[in-house]
Amino acid sequence: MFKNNNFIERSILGALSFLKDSIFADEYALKSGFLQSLDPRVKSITFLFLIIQVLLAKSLFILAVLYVFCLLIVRLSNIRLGFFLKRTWIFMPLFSLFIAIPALFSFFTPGQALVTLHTGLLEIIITRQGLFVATLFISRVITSVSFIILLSLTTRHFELLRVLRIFKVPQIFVMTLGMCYRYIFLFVQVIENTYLGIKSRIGRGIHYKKGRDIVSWNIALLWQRSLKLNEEVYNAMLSRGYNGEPVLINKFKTTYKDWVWVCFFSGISFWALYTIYGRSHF
Amino acid sequence: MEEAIFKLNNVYFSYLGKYPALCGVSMDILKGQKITILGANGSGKSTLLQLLDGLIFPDKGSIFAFDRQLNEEVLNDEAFSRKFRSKVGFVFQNPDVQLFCPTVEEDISFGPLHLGVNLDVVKKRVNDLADSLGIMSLLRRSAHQLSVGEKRKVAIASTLAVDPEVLLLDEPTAGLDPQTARHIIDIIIEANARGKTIITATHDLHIVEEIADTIYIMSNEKKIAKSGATQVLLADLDLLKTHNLMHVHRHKHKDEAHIHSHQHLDHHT
Repeated sequence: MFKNNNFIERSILGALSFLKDSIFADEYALKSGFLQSLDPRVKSITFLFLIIQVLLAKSLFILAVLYVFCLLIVRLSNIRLGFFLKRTWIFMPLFSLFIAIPALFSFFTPGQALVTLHTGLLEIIITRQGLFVATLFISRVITSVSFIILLSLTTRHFELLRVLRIFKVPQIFVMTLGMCYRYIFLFVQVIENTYLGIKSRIGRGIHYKKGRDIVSWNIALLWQRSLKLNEEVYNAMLSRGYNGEPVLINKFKTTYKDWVWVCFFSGISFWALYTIYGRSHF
Repeated sequence: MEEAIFKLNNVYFSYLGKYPALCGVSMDILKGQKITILGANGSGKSTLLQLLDGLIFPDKGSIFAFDRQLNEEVLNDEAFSRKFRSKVGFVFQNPDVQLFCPTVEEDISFGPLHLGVNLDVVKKRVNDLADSLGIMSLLRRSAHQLSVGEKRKVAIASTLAVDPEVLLLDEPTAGLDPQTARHIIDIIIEANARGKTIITATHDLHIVEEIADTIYIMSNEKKIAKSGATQVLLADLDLLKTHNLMHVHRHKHKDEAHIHSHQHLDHHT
């Protein structure tokens, strides 16, 4: 649509598609599976501890065990392994590869030479220590990202927000975040419809400068709409008795499954901690 | 004599102090009445409902609700505000405005929870309403995943959950398919049969006969042009035409090629 420069179009469509994916991510949270059946509070706290353990682990073996453990509960939670791997590994270059690759070389991690590459005058050395550091780093990132994605896939987003209450985050903050989450999707629809409206009227390429004008004008319009909506939503809240003190239903309930999970998690954690520190302290 | 729950005396309201929305509206609304405020777009219907719900306040004139004058000061009094909000429920024109919670269940329970209703009672109300409106399967879903009709039903449920005496409805059937519109009308009629006062703003003449026994017609001058019994005013075609509530058009009947100028209140079959 935007002639000579489809960057804006690609950005809009990319952002919309990402947000829509988030909507559909709820599908996994609504499936019946092991993690889905747990109390979000128990799940969030245990996952937080698992991630801390991943960050403390200095052995590739422990990280491998924790990663396999993660994949096992992915299967128990009715999530397709292929989908999960795609979703987690896609973040790899973003989070770690660009940082880990330089660590391979002797400039950053001196040590025993493993591979030596000769490129003209320059000699590039990959060290054994560098390879270990890079692999450890990537393993930590992929394992912790996997746990985070698994938690977000198996827990509905508003439940995750509500879990913030156990960390003493004020009720009003939790409610406001919930409303932000709710209305993002309304604005996604508005943006999508606006985009289609523009496309249907333009129907052919336009100069990128004009395209920029249209996009910036629509950002301003969206801002205006959000202000109006803000006022109307507040009126709707007042109309149903809101007086500045939010009241939410606390529907969290622990069951025997949560205690089974806590026992299992404690076993894994104890083993990992023992392996990390145990030999010298236990 | 029947009890007047709302009394409006010569009410004026303007947006930003320069865009008039109501210019001298007076009306008395009795308990248990079914009232429809009819008017073309921009005639001030929604503004009138917002005034009745104490969300905005008149520039001039006065509004009395349950024998107390509505103004900002009175509604800042927590006891009165709670009592008033428990008695008056408002279904907004845009259901997206009204459904601000992460799930349908929380949206329905928001009102009674904030008005201090016991949690067990709230849960029972949510389940009963969801059952009677056929939205039980939607309770755990988010509003953005619902169709327009479903959103409208949830918005009505979220208002009925408060169990108000007065139900204010702003264009309750706008943009709905016939079956969903029918269901909404049935809900309104049933609420009235249970003693609730119904005040609806609409320009949809098809539903008026069923949901109103009294009509107020708003003019383009943002005043009440005429009020009276539904049957009488709906029969006054000139009055309806003058206030853009019906039109003259050419159309073809189903069985024969019959083209002529035509006035009607119902949909063609």
